Amino acid sequence: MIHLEQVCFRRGPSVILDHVTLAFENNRRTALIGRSGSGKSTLLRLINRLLEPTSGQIRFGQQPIDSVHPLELRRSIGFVSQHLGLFPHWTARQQIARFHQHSQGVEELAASFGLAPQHLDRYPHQLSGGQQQRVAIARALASNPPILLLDEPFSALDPILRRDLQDLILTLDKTIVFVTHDLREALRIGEQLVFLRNGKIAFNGPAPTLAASEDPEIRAYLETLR
Amino acid sequence: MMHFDLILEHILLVTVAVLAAAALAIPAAIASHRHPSLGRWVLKLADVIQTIPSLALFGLLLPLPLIGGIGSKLAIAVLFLYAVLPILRNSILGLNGISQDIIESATALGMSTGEILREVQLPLAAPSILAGLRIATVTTIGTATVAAAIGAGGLGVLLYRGLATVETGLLLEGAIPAALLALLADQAFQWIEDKFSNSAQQP
Repeated sequence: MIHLEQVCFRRGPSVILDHVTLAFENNRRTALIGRSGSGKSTLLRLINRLLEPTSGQIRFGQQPIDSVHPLELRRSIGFVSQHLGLFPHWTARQQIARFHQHSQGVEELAASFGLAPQHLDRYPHQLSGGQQQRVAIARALASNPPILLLDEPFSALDPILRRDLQDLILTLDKTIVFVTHDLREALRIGEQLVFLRNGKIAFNGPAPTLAASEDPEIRAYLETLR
Repeated sequence: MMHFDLILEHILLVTVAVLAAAALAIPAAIASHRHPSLGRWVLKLADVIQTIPSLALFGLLLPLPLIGGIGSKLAIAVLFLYAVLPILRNSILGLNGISQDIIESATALGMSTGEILREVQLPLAAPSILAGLRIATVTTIGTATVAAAIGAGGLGVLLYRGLATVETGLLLEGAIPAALLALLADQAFQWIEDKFSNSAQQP
């Protein structure tokens, strides 16, 4: 379990996260939703210590994450950002093999993410958008981490590809926290939903219960699904 | 008539100066990239050095101990100072030009700062660093002709002799090999850059 306790994050005078207390359960998929600037990407980056909280504590089970060496911590957490951050000078195979610590071989692992062997010897710019996403996910999971963090990874894809990749995420047996501003995607992938507004939690609960929320902004969000 | 001894001397002056400049400028670029406020000062200093006319710089460094005095040591010191800026500027540009997403994902994958530098930043900045080395080498080949003024040898010897005696032939014997050297160096760097971009597959 990942626990956030009274976590604050400030950048200069602005408060990005304001006393957030939250738990992500093991092997569950949690969707972090909210509008731009609500603090969802920041929250995600606190979990793998790309950012450090201004105050408050984050724990894995009983262990505070700042007691683990950041490099070691990050190797146990997969991360895929919106722009993927693939290395342009490495082939797909190199990107995956560099971080590979999996019982499955590189090709087998890649195949389970829908990448054929001939794709593996291509550089990122020689791959389609969907294939690039698959490489980024395969790379993030090459060390077989128990946790996967996703920051709007599918926002640039067409609806069909997007659905394929959502299906892929649904097959993973990981603790998944993913950020999206698309409520449809959040409801499809997320078992738990956390709605952030101005750095505070406006909703936190099982996905099906969101429909009962009285919060006007959440209602407005739900309206967009009609 | 070919003056192989002078050509060799010229190449030696340039090679030592450019290699020494690279040895300073590339680490300085890495430090400047990590600490942008330091970077601004480093670039400003290199800019100021670049604006001093080369003959004046020879004169200014002449009285200094260790590097001062007549001869190739002083010439190399001056050429070195001139070669630093293009390498430094291009290396910083190359490092700064790498998308922040790439660095963030490398960090998130658990790579250490040193691993990111060696495996990601330097290879991606390499074309820009090479371009800096290319400019530095080609301009240093030209500037090195001035080194003859302080007795450092090289092809400049023929230029000064030709100027003093108003002998066009002698002038050309110095100028043509210097120009050819610059062209050759430029081509060599072009070749390395092509080789690099073929293997690095930069989009």
